[in-house]
Amino acid sequence: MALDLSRFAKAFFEEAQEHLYALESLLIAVDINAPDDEALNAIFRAVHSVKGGAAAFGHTALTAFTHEFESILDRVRKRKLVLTKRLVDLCLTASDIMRRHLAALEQERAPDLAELAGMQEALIDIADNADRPIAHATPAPTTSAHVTLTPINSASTDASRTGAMSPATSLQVAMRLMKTDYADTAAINNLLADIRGLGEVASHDCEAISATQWELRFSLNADIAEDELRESLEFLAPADSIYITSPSNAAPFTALPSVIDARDTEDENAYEFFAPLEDETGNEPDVDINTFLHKDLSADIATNIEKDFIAYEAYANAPVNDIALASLADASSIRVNVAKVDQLINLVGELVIAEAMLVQSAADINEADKARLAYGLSQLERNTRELQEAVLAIRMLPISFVFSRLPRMTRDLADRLSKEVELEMVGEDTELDKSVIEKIADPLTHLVRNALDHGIETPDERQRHGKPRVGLLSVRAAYHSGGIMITVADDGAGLNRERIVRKANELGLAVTDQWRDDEIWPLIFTPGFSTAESVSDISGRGVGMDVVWQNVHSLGGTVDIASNPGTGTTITIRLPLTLAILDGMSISVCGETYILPLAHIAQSMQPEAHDLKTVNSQEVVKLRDEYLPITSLQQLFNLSSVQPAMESENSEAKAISDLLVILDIDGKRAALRVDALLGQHQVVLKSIEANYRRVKGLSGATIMGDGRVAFILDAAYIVGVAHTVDIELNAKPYG
Amino acid sequence: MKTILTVDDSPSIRQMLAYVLANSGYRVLEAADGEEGLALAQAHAVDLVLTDHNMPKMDGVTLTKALRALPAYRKVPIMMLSTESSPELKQAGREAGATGWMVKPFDPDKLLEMLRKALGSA
Repeated sequence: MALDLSRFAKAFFEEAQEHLYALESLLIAVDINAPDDEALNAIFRAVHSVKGGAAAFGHTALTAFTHEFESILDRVRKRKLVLTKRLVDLCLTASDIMRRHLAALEQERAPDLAELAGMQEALIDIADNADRPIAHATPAPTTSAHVTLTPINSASTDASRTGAMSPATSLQVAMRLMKTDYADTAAINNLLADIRGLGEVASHDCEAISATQWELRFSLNADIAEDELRESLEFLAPADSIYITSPSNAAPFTALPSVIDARDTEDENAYEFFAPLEDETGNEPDVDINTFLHKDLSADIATNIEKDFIAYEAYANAPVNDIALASLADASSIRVNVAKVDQLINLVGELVIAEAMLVQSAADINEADKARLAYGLSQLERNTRELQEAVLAIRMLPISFVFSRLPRMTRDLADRLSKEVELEMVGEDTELDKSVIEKIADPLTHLVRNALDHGIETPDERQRHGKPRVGLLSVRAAYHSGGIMITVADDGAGLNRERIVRKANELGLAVTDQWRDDEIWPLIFTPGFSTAESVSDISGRGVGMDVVWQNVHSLGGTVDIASNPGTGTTITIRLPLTLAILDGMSISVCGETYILPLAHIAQSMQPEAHDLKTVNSQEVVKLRDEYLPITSLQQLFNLSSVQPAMESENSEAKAISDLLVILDIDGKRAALRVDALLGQHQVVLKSIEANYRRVKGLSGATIMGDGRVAFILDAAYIVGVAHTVDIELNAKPYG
Repeated sequence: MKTILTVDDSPSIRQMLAYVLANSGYRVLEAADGEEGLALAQAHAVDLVLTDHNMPKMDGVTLTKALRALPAYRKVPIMMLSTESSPELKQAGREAGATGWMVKPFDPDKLLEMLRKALGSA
């Protein structure tokens, strides 16, 4: 029967990428000076898992590569090979190459086999030439599995290795040697010495493959034909114990296992049974498994099992790199198609609107019915809200998805810039809506790159300023008053005021030295604004910060900068938790209903006449000790001032221009003149941009209970306009 | 209908095995590591165990030893399924009490043939 297994190939690609991602995290996190067993095991298993899948789906080149990679990692975890920074760097590059290879396979493009082969060679090279722990004193040949042979870098072969040109032929050889003939290391080393007489032994390995036999494998570079080599070797060992292959690719030994195994298994089947099975009548055969099994039932085996249990329990509970664990042990989550979730959210949104409409209608019914209806509706409202929250929660993902790329990026970038940086990440499990995460990923990355490139100084410079040589880059996420706050802080040089003022003037902006810091710093969000002396490819092409601003703003968020020369810079991004629902305050202006986001309303007030003043033709109101600028929607949107506020039963509306709503955008405040406050409610946000086009000053729209559309006002825009900063200047970042 | 327990830390391999086995009329139980496998084996009557070797928490060889220590599983066929076919590992499997060995990547037809032999004529 021909079953189609290709459907599982997709799952393999996803899994493999997860394993590679875990591998990367583990490699970055591992302490080279004192690596712990669990970490090394996890590193090995990540590659092993990829190999398993690759083999299962017939990706031969990748299988061969991962087999080699895995053997090296196996030696590392068994402490036979020391983990050095160079090896870690190489492994990281190897994992990048594997990722690219997998991506190519998945997209059905031709993968770069040369790159793979090159990395394979590099790995083998470093493994063979790396420091090894010294061999045990006298390995008993029948019990030790691995033999330590004369290192390749002995004097006699050194000369031939340096400046070696590619040999005429490179042959892989495996030899089965009887332990009775080669009783100890010395004997095998002697054999190798003889073999070196035939040519250059490029790499070698020797293992016990059974109680009675060694398998010696080596790669010989020599100007010698295969049969000549065979003849020569037959002086040293029986003919049927010699296997020679010439490599079809650049990696030695990969062709070999199959050669050996094919000859090794008693039958050429894909499986084997250790002992004859019970025959079909159910009678026990003469030699049965039980003779093996009875051995296992002795007490000390039981304790061994217990020891294994304990050991594995310890392994399971050990605190391995959190990120790796999260990505690997995903048993408690499922993948859901995003379109399905979006549909659910739409439906819930409609439900909320319908419910609001009912509430509206209910207002007109008589008392008795009204009570019952009111009760039913309140139930409905509660259920709907809970449903809404549950559905939105499906879309929430921890911000670690974005943070996760930072360690590797920081490491590479710091290396490239010859800077020493410690990255601190806090609040990785803070959850945000998926689309928010997607939009914030690039801006966040850019801010981190900026901090590394322009913020943190070189170690020498830091030392000159009395700072520690290692710079600190701190990325934090936390819930904050109904939203999320993400900060990127560095203890570097801080922003340079003069340079910014100069650049702003160059761009034609009328900026002076008199401006306050908090007016100067936001200038870097202007398009085309990069004060980097030379544009490095890392950041500073002038397209970075304004895109950051755009993305954050389009998410309904804000960006703030605080900077101190010599001490450092902190950039704070505030974002709403979800995009779809808003807590709003309805207001009425000129007969139209608008919604203000409740999060940005500090208070409302009716000022006394003596609190109102006009300064430089800007109306202001005195609130406590502060004078706040006043603006109105008429002013902002060019509305015709229509008749006085419409009558409504429970109207608290006073004469026009007496009611002010104080808006607060992270401490920056302004007053908005309104005709009436209509009430607070939760409002389903509908996008104007998606349905019409982007409109300055509006962050969306909603459908009210009476079926009419109400605009949701952009509080940040209003406050910005109200303030004394030149409107032209403000307009630029809004694009 | 015979019940087969598959133990492998790779979800895609487990899915593949489940697909092949279920299509041939076997009931399939799945475990992601040796510990889960042991728990499932104790909770259900399993007719054959297919286990990978390299897994977290408890590897295949250890699982085999643990199963053989249970009276119910002294004779149940336990087949090790692994990419590694090193003689050492096979020896370890054999000593732990495994019934046999199968190499990954596996051919579905070979797998089924092996199962038929191991389970006797059902």
